[in-house]
Amino acid sequence: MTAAPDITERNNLALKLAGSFWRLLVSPSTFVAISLLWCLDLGVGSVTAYFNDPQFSAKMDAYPFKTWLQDIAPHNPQSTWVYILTGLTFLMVLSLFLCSINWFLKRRKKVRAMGEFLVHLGFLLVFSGFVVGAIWGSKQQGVGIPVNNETYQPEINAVLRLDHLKTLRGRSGHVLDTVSRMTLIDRHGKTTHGVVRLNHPLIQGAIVIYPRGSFKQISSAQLSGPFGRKLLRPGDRLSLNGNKEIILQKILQEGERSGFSLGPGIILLAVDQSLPHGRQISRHYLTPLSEQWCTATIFGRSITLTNFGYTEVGNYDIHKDPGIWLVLAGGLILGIGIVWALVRYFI
Amino acid sequence: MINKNLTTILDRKKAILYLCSAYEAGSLTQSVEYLPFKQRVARSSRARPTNFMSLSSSQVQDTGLSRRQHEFESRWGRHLLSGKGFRIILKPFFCFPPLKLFNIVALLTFQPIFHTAAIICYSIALLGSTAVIFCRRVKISFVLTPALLGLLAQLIQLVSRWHDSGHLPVMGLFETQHFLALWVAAATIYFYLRYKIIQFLPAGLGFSLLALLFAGLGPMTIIPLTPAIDTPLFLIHVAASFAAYGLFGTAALAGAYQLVHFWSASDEQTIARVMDESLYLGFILFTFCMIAGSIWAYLEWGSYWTWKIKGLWSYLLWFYYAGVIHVRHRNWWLGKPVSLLAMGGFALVLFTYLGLGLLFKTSHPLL
Repeated sequence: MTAAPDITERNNLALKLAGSFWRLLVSPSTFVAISLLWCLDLGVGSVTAYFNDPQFSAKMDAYPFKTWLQDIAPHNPQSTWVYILTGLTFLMVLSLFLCSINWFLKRRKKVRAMGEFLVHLGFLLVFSGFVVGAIWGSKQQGVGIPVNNETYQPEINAVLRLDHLKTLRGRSGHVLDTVSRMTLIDRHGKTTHGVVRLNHPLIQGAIVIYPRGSFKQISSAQLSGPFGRKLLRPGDRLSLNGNKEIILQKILQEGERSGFSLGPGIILLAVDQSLPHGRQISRHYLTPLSEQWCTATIFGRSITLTNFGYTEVGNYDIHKDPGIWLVLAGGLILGIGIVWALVRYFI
Repeated sequence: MINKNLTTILDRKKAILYLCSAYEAGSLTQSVEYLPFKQRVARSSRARPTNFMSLSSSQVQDTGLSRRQHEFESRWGRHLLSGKGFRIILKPFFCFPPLKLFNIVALLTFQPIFHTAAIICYSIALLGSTAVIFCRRVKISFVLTPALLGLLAQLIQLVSRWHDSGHLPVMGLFETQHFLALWVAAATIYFYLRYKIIQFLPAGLGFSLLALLFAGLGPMTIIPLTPAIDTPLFLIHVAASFAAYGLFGTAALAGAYQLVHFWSASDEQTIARVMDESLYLGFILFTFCMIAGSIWAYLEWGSYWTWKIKGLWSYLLWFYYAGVIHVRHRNWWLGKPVSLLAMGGFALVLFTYLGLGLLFKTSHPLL
């Protein structure tokens, strides 16, 4: 007979505790407490990180946030504040989310307060977009594409073609900007043409192509010998005498290494086709760095590297942020909510 | 003629060097844009037909400056141009021989006069408002008239600089401090007219005066706006940002007033209302600033979020004030805690705006 009231009391106690916990979770004071801690962590952490390494933020921007957290931050002890910040951000967002649910459950009839609700919803969408971008987004920096060439980028699952590149220079010869005409072909075959220049990226859906200048790349080499002057590209063959030929195997760009060879230079293969499978006889490295290294004797003939041919290469950052639509939608809702709240405040 | 040509060449060289050095330093890598130049030429030619040496398209492209910027860079130099309007107005008078002696006046540039005028007006208004509080005989018009004149002087200067530079003048310490002072003074006068609380006037006007005096520490030259940031989003971003800063400043002043308990109960309620309104409006404007800034960054640089310190601190401010907005009507936080939060918030504003702009290498430099 006495058990029943105990159970009721226990249930009441549990309900009271659950109610108190819920009120604590949805309380604005909880949000404020977390946001103050968040501010403290961000303020102290960002300033300390700046003084330790002024490039800290640039390094963070170079990677998707999840990649940075997983692969880069563990090697940098000064990144602890970012982990704390991430945790506090999730707590803060959870508080906002529960607060919004609470509002919707209890006070949804008050349309006048819809502005605040929209602000919360907008922020939650922006945050969700950020998380989606941080997890499934990609960032590649310094992707070089020669003019009139295309490259497949697996990270964005699309082909990028550079149709035209124009370098704008100042009077003193400084490069001020590079204007690229590009074509982006996505996996569905959708083609987007656009001009990319500083402060004017090519944006197609979640993909952003941002220019990072241009550079010249050695694309061919001019050789002189008994055959006169010939311009060869990598893979080109030059017949010397009957079955004997030379192949331009590789071009080393400036500063590039291949074994003991240091660029700029070319690697030539001497091949005798009369031998089985076109046997390679010798391998030669020619470089303009020294006069004696410019010339090689191949099959008894003196062959000299006389010049290089250059191609202009556009340099790009390629970002993919699948969360951008959520962010834009969130921003729009946030803006509407703000205007609604402003009107309600004065009317 | 020779001198003029020489000056032109030298100034162009300076402009090119400025851009090139900035480009090399990396500060312009995300801020130079050339292609909208046709629109800019069209706009500048509509606004002011040129009667002196014009530049070819390639020359304009070379430096990335707009045609108008080239014009004033090359013809007058940055500082003297600011007085052009003044000289044009006074020219007929100074052509008269006996008045040629007064040409020295024409050398005084247009904007410094209004800067000084605003300082003088706010000083008089500050003294007047203090006098009104302690002496009931002094009329409020002794405060409002100079305060409104100061505001007018600031507005004339703003419009004049806007006209000369072709963009909202909010670049560098001088212009931003002016803009901040303008908003604080406007908010103070608005709150007086709305709530008739005279005690609040000295603080608001004093704040504006201090901001103007501090503005004098920065160079008064017009800083050319790099074309990339010459978009309507820039205008919304910066104007909303400084309006919010001004209102946060007003909220902090109201908070400081609340901590000093020598006002009547009704005055305290009004001051609480001023603080509440400042916080709410400030937060709303700051949210607009953040939205505009993010969209602008996405369209210009392909990323709405970066980990740069200025951006981080802006989010810090936003979350801080979001917290304050949430608790400002809660029982436990009413009164002293909210006042302290408002004052602390403004300290953060000052650090974000001045501290980061002056002491750190940021994307929003002041000097």
